[in-house]
Amino acid sequence: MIINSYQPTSEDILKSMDNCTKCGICNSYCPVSNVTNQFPGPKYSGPQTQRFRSLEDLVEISPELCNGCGVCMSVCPNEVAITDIITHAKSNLNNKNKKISFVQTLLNRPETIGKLGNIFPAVSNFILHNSFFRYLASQFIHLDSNAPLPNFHGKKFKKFLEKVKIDSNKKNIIYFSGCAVDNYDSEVGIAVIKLMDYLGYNVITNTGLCCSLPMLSSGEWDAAINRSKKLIDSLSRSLHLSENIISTSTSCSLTIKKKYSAYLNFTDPKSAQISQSTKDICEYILEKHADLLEEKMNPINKKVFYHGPCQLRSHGIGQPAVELLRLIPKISLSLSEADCCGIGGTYGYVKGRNEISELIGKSLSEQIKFHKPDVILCDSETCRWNIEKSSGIETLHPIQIILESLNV
Amino acid sequence: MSKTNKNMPKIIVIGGGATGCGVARDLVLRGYQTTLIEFGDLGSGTTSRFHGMLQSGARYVVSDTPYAAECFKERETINKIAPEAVELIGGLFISLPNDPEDYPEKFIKCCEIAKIPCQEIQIDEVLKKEKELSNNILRAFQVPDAIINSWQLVNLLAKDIRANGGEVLTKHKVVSIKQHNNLVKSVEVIEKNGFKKILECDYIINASGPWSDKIAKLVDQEVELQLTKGSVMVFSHRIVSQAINRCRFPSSNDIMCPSGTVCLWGTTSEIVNDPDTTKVRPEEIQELLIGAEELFPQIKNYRSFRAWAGVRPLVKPKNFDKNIPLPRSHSVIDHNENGLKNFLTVCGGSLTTHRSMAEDVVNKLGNKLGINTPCSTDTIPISNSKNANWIPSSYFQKIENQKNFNDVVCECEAITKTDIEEIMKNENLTDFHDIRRRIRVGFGPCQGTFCNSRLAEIVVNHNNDIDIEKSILNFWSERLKGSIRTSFGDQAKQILLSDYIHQENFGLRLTEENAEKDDIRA
Amino acid sequence: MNTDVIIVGAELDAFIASIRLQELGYSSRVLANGKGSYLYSSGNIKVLDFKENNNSDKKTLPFFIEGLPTEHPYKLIGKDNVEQAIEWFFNHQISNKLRYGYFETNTFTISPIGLKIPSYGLYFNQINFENIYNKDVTIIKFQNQKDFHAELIAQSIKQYVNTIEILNVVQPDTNQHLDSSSLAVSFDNLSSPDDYFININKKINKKTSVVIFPAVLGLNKYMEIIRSAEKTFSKKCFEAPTLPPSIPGIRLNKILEREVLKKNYIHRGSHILKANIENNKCLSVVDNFKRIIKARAFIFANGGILMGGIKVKSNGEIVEEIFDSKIQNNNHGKCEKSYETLNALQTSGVLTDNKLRPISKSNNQLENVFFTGRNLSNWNPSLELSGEGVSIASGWHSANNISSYLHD
Repeated sequence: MIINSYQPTSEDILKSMDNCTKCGICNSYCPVSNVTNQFPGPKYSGPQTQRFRSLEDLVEISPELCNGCGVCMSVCPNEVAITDIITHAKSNLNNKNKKISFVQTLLNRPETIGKLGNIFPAVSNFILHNSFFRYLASQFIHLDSNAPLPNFHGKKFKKFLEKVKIDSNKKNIIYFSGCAVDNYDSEVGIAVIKLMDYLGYNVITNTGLCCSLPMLSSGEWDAAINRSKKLIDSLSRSLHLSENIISTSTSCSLTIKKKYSAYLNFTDPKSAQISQSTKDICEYILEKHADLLEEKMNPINKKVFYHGPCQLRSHGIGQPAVELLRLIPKISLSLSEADCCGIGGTYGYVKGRNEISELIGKSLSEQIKFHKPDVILCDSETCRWNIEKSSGIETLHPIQIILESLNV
Repeated sequence: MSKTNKNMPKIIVIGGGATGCGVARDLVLRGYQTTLIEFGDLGSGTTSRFHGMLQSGARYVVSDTPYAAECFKERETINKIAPEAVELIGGLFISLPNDPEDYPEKFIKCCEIAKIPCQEIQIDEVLKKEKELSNNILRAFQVPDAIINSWQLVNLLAKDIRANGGEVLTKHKVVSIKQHNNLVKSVEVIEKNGFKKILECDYIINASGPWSDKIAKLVDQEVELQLTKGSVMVFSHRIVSQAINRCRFPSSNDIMCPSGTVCLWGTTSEIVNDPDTTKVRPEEIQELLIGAEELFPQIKNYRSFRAWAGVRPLVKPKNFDKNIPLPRSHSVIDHNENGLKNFLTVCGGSLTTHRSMAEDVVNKLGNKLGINTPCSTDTIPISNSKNANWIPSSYFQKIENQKNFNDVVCECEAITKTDIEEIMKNENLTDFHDIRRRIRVGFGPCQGTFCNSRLAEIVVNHNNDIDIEKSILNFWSERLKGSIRTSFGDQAKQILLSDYIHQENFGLRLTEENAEKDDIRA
Repeated sequence: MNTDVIIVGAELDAFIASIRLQELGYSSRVLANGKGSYLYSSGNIKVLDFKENNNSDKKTLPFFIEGLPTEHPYKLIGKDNVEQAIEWFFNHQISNKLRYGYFETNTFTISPIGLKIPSYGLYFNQINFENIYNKDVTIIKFQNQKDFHAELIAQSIKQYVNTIEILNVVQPDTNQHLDSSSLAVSFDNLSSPDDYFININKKINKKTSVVIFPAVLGLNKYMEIIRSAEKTFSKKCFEAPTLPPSIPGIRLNKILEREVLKKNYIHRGSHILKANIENNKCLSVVDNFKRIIKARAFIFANGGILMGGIKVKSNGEIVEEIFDSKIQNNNHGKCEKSYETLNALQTSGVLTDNKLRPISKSNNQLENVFFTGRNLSNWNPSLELSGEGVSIASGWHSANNISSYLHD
């Protein structure tokens, strides 16, 4: 009945408000309420208000300011699904009272924007990074002019995939690339293919799919249902080829693992199987190939700083990327102590919220300034773009360094 | 503007529950000089210890149809005169497979006779709306039950009594009543600080509920009462959106009633001798859970954060037969039959009929005195406010609108420092429990774990003389008295957290000497 | 990855065990659900509320352990071991980071409502009653701060001091909340603490020799900030506790985590649902993602009834759900008075041998599982004021026992 179950549903989530003992530990760790008094905190917006929401419709604006990082849930000693309760409230508010903002609607469709932008990537990149156009965007559609926008990579990843040959002697692994790799971060996708090939796999990928996390976090759930079903169906069709699905985004993989049941009540056997089969790439490699890597990895001459994204916490797997990085001989590795970089997925892209993101990210920025790394590693795409923009230091996915250390 | 008149007789009403307050209000509106005396705080007797329903009467429609009809009429009236204490949620009467098969038909027929609107609802519709109900339910009937905030009710009544020239004396204990020539002359009361007062009167109306007999004995009279203790469990959220009743003859363990943000399940039923019995026994909790499980199969997994007990007084009629259940309708006893000319007792009934009981006894008083002012308590609203119904989330909505998050002292019930200071100023209060009863501080699931010391900080700013250690301990131990009864599941964690904060962190010590006694009326 | 020991829980005993195990050469993985109950304390280390006679020599903890019942955890662990554990804790670098003062007997600090609390150890600048006797004291409170009870503390200590004043000051950043963690973060973010304190200095009574702040002077930079205050005021400055969750508790948590993360791993948001046992050995545990986590030994430091390590059923039954261990059930449901009920609940717990291994109901003694802290029975942390002491001693002792077990 409570969140300890493998596939908590909406009912389980909302009922978990009863477990709250008002201890306030969630408030102490909330990155948003610790920097601004506009957001009353997870205890208030989550289980406290939920007791009143179950009575009648409330007029609320507080839930909007939650950035969905999930830190509160990971520190709650009583298994209250705080972040999920707040996200449920966002969805209800969108349905009943407010319409979702235009900029949020745009941000919720990154794969659509990706497809459009990649028709003429050079032009799109120019527009995206030109300060005049950013100013216009900020004034008219409320896209914050400081928001860390990525570059369109054209069809680079897709073209690379076309050149890869299937080797029937190899095992198969399904790779959910997601909109970031498909459109903006092709280097990460290319690194996955190369690394998995080295480890003896054919990588099966269907590009053009989106996990719908931005829609789910902002409460646009009706639209999310169809997309999520599409993703589940597509992945299911490949399951006969491999037992496992890997992902290079800790946010996407968390969505597939837990959020489809928690928000959309996908409890059918197909969804459950997909949820069980999905793993973060570092989680997977650590489980299966750690010994081989330990043998084969070479030293790299870079000072590395690793920041574990906030959503990684909700996986309950610790920091597998760190465990893999520690296998690199003589690695100079420092770990971030910040709970959240601030961007919160699409949260910090909206005008007015970027200031909050910046304040949250201050602690991480200070740590980076202190350690002066050559490269920063992070397993989630918007976090990477955010950190790279604010620090000016190259920010990669951990497997890119792992690949480098294998001299592949 | 005061309605009382110096030429009218002086009436003392003993008992500050709903009945006593209702009587006192009726008296002042008819011009009598009125003093209401209450031993503890208003409503701390039976009035606040029931399951919260302002019933439609359907519960008694088969066993006592005229009483049921009175209940329905009163439910409409109270909603009209005190809407801010009432929430119109509706109610369902549900039959389960082991309920008497012929009862529903009787139920429908009697509702027609009593003119209580009753409509059968399809089971699948009910189960769609009330997801926690068992799938075994057979039939369901919709009736216009409502819920009432009894603390709010008595406080509104008291305000109106004072506004109209009446006197309300709480924390005053009746020590003795002086009589002469078969007439009561005066009442001696003692305050908490030991100060004694003599109040003269022309008449006494005894509205002291379960204590009616004890009060009557002060004038060598008696009131034959059957005292029934009933225990209630509080569940920490609205499991159902309307009151759920068992469709059978009224017995124990058959009401689940939302109240504010929580749900009350009750009651047990046990005959006792002592009106001060408020202790809930562990066996009663098990009994309540087993009863609730029939309607709500998952109930043992829910969080119950408090249990309390109250004693209901019913008057034993002259030819009392043990085998026939006592009538639920109220009684007015004129002690003139036993030689005391100016002493009336009003007892029995229920909270729903408190106003009509009051009207009855004040009419009888008027007949005896030859004063025929008609009753106006059914038409004049109790307060001048906007006449909107009780909205349990109104405090919360206010905070959300004003965004004064930092002001919140009691997080569970959304009570701010401003709210508390206002109450303290308006009614000159510094006792934590008085504040709690008026504004619900400490009523929520954490039962004062965090708001206790915050409340102390506010009170000490207004009154440097309070003994902080004693007040905080006293508040905690009173909350603990009820919340410790249901220490299982998440509530066990809450109790131990509360212990951590008060004993392990604050350094207080709960002992035999300072633990809450069972009687908290003082 | 092969881990020697799995530690389930986020309590103080969990981290102490992991740190001690690392010292002895064993790796561990802490599967933490929440942040631990010591966040509800005020940062002081309480080992036992013992009363010394006026004319006795200063007696230390082992002397008073003699007088405890035989089933008490201190007795199971052995008074020499307890003394060693406590000494180890205060001499360890984790304590040095917070400059814990180790008194070898009880001294008194002030509770959030001003009462005297006996403590064996106080962190750097935590207020000690000795600091205020006959002094002129100023208590600083932030305007509208609701979780610091300056008035209550003033009322309680006024009999011990010479003069006392309460000074209301403006918070460092008015765009933030006034709860303890927001205040602490705003102190950390102050670009110039000196300037902030100079402004306050203008309002402090010149006669004052001791200034008491609420315990919110920063999470990371508290030493600098206190020193800045002392330098600016030329007066001694101390911290008095706020309503929980406490910032000193969070500081301790950060230091413990940092120490563990040097070589080991912490999994946040990990809920253990069952264990796999064979031949009286626990082989692995299973979490809420159906992951099987293997190890050679296991420690359950998950906080007893308070933090969910042990559950109470509606019929009064108390169960430890993973191994169904034998429980000392003191029948809290049958108690008449509330203080009896509380004591019965607190003293109920898992029964163990003196190695802290749970006694099984069926006489199949598990050889590699250990229970610590609030999971143990026959002690009442609230009445004895021994919470941190039992945590430290049992964490240390279980680590030592595992070391012997694995060595053989």
